Amino acid sequence: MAQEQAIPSIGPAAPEFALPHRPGVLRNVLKFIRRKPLGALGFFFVLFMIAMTLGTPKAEFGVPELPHSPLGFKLGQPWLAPYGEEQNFKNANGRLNTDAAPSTKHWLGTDGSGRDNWTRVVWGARRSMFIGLWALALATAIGTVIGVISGYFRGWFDTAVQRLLDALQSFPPLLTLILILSITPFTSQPSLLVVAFALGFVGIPQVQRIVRGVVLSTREQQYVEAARVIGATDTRTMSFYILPNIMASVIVVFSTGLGVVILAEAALAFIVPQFVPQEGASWGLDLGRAQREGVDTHTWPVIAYAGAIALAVLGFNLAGDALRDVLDPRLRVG
Amino acid sequence: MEEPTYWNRFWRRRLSRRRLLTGAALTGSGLAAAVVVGCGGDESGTDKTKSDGGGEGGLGEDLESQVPQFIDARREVVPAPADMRGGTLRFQGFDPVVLDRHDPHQTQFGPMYANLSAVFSKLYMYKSHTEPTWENIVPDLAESAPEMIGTPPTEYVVKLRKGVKFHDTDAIRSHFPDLAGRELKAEDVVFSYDRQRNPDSIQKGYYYRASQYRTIDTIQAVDDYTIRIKTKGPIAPFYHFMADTNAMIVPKEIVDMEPGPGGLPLDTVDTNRGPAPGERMIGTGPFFWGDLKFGIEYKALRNPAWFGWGEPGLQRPYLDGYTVSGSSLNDTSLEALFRRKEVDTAGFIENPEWVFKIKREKPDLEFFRSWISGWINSRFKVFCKPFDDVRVRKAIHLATERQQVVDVIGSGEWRMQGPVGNAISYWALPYDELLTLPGYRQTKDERTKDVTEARQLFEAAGSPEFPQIWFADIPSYIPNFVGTWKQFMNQNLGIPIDKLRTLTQAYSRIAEAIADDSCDLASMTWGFDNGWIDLDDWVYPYFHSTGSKNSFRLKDPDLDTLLDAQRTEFDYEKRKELGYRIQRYLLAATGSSAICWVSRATECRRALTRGRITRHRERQRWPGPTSRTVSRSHGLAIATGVLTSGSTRIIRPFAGGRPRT
Repeated sequence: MAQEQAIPSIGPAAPEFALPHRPGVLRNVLKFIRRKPLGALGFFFVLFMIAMTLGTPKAEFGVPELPHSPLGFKLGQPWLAPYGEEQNFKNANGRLNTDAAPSTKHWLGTDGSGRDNWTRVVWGARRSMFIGLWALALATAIGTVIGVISGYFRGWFDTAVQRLLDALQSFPPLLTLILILSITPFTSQPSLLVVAFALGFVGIPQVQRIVRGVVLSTREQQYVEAARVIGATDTRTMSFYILPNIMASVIVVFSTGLGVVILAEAALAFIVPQFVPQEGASWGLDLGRAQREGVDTHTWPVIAYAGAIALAVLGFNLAGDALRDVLDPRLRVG
Repeated sequence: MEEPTYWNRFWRRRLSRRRLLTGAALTGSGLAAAVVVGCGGDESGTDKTKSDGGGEGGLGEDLESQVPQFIDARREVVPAPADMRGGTLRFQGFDPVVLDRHDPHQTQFGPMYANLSAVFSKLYMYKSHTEPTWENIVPDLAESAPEMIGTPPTEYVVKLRKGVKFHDTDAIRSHFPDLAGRELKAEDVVFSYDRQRNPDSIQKGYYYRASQYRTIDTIQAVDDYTIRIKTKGPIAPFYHFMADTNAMIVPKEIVDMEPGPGGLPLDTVDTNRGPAPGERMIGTGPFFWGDLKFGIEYKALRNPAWFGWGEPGLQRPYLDGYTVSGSSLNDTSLEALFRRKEVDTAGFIENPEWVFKIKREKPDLEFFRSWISGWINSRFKVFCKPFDDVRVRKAIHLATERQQVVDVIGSGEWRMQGPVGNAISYWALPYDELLTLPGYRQTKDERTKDVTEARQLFEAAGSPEFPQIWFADIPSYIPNFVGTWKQFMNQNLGIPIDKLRTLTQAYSRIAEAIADDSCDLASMTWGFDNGWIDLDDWVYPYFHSTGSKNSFRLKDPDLDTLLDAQRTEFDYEKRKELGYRIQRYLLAATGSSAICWVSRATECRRALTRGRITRHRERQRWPGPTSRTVSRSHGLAIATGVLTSGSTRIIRPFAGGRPRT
């Protein structure tokens, strides 16, 4: 009897102990928008930029090539681009309709070659986005590996790696980029893949530094200690116990880094256009051209391309900040 | 309890840096968006391009009427006071961008000609920019016009000025003690001409005007001041040859004649033995070769012992030197430098609007406008597929949207041109006639007809795939134009844009590639080229089967006959007509001579302003009613020369004294 009394009766749970109802995706999104409006704005810009890069895939497979074949299959004209990348327009006199102000036909006006600025912005998004993704993929992959190993083992290896990367980081990133791209084989045959890898290379120290910092605290956690106790090897510990637990930081680094890389690519094309492929739409190149020919007469291209760069970077920064707040339990509010 | 929403926290929090920046960014974005939305316009009223490619827009009639004529190098001048000097003129230009050799006989690069022409002299020179006729050739090192023997002449006797000295500085004395201050002799002239016609020289491929000097049968120094030249036959432009771009007189001492590969003399100034090429730039010109920092700056310094065309009282050259900066060659930077008074003279690169604007703001600025004898061209290797097919070449010729080239590259301030540049109005096919020819005519119906024919020809040739097309990397408007070029090739010939492969390359690399027989390299190119002076310069080296610049490898006996004929026709009017026939023949693009004039279309019409010179002078305490005029002529001449190839005759005026006003 006493035993029977000890066992709680199985019946319907009291209301105060009921599991919370899991809200749907839409409700989560709305909640996020309400609580993090700036983050939501950032995500809107990011999603819009992603949308600008999308086009109907073509059945042409091969080696990945930037910007129109970033994953080995070719993307067609972006859905959001009303015209071709180089399509120009003529006025009633049969001459190129250059430097036109915005109109219903050309939402952001035309540039000095009579091309639609909005169309160039959309096509240029593909270049910025895919260079950014490739560069960040490289930087994050290598930086994470270095950061995890360096932070996990510490000791002389950590010291050596960190001092080496400190030395690399002591050069201004833009100068390092220009230095890499000014190597003769790259200048004689500029390639967007080379630009992406150069940007990724420059980003490695920053990524590994953040990852290493997180690993240094993670490796002291009890579950890591427990893994060691049960005989997990270093590789296993790093791969299955540390890496999954630092992924939130890696994701945040990736998302905020994308804005930085997009800005760096645009700056590179603006400052040293000869070191980057000059074909096709590019926010940095097109902004540089408009600026060099005179902002007075090329006002609309400047507004269009500078605005695109600014909004993209702002979007990635705001989205990254919001992501960090959401993924880091210590920063969760409410 | 109130739910801790974002807005609740928003109003409670302090204004952090992050919030401030975010707010500022959002406000900025909003304002930009508002501007975009609020300033909409209709494209029907946005025709900013010019009426006929001649670029009449932007300036206004009042300024058009003020456009001065080109200032003559030899116009009447009055001596400057003994203590009056012109200071150092500063401007931006391509002069430091030397992509070619230093050797005055082995270069073909416009900016290098500009540098060299201040340092070296020739027997004769042109005094007129636009009328390159015999009447406008005047003595430079020569004492007078040559004595021409024979009818038509086959023998020329040239008398040199006496007392002309080579440059003399401490640096020159240390490297070439025997040359510093040595008097120029007839042997120097013989050496300068002989080496360019020497078929055994290991540098023969670099003598770009060799075909001119190979018309010489014998050349000898009769005495220290007399040269006797016999030609192999009557050569009409021979007098011009003595005033042409590569006719500079160099002393033998500066040339490395030690054995090179194969045991033959190296025969060049561009050697890595002994003094560097820059230290070998020793001539008899009005300026010393100062310092050349590649791509950054070129400095020239006054030669106080210059012979001054036999008028020492004028104390030429007036300027103490000039400095050309090769960085920031774009309109925005140029405008900023000009407004900050960091340059004394400037002109537009692509967009002339800022020049017009400054002129409107400050009407007292000097303004100069002139055609420039440079051009953008396409070259084909006619032995390479698909350009060995005349239909393909003609299709490209007709499909090329020359007016778009003018509108995009020169903001409408350029002009289409034929085989001879419009700046050389005497020899160029009349512009009115040019505008009636296929590929150039611009009415809607005519253009439609040309494009239709282009498409038909291209399809008849099997719509072949193009090899990689090489574009020059400077000026920046050339690589910028690649997209537009692809667009009109796509529209007019139906070539998919992704099948048009292009590569941007430096001129030095392009020059190597077009000289190469490989069809994998630069079988079609797109770039800027110097303009020239005489009819012969524009056509013979390029299109004669033995021409030194015939990188097309064109061989057309009919064309050769015409080109040879213009060399033996001494009657100017008849030669001019022959020149027209040659140009029409080339433009007709028929038979094997169909080098197409793709984008050989444009010729820039530069608006040059300058005028800070006056204040610059005043700051240096050289006031006086004539200082502006003096500065004007010199500044303009340099600025024009910088932007012009074959500029010897143009850059020389700033060696002058004060013009009589």
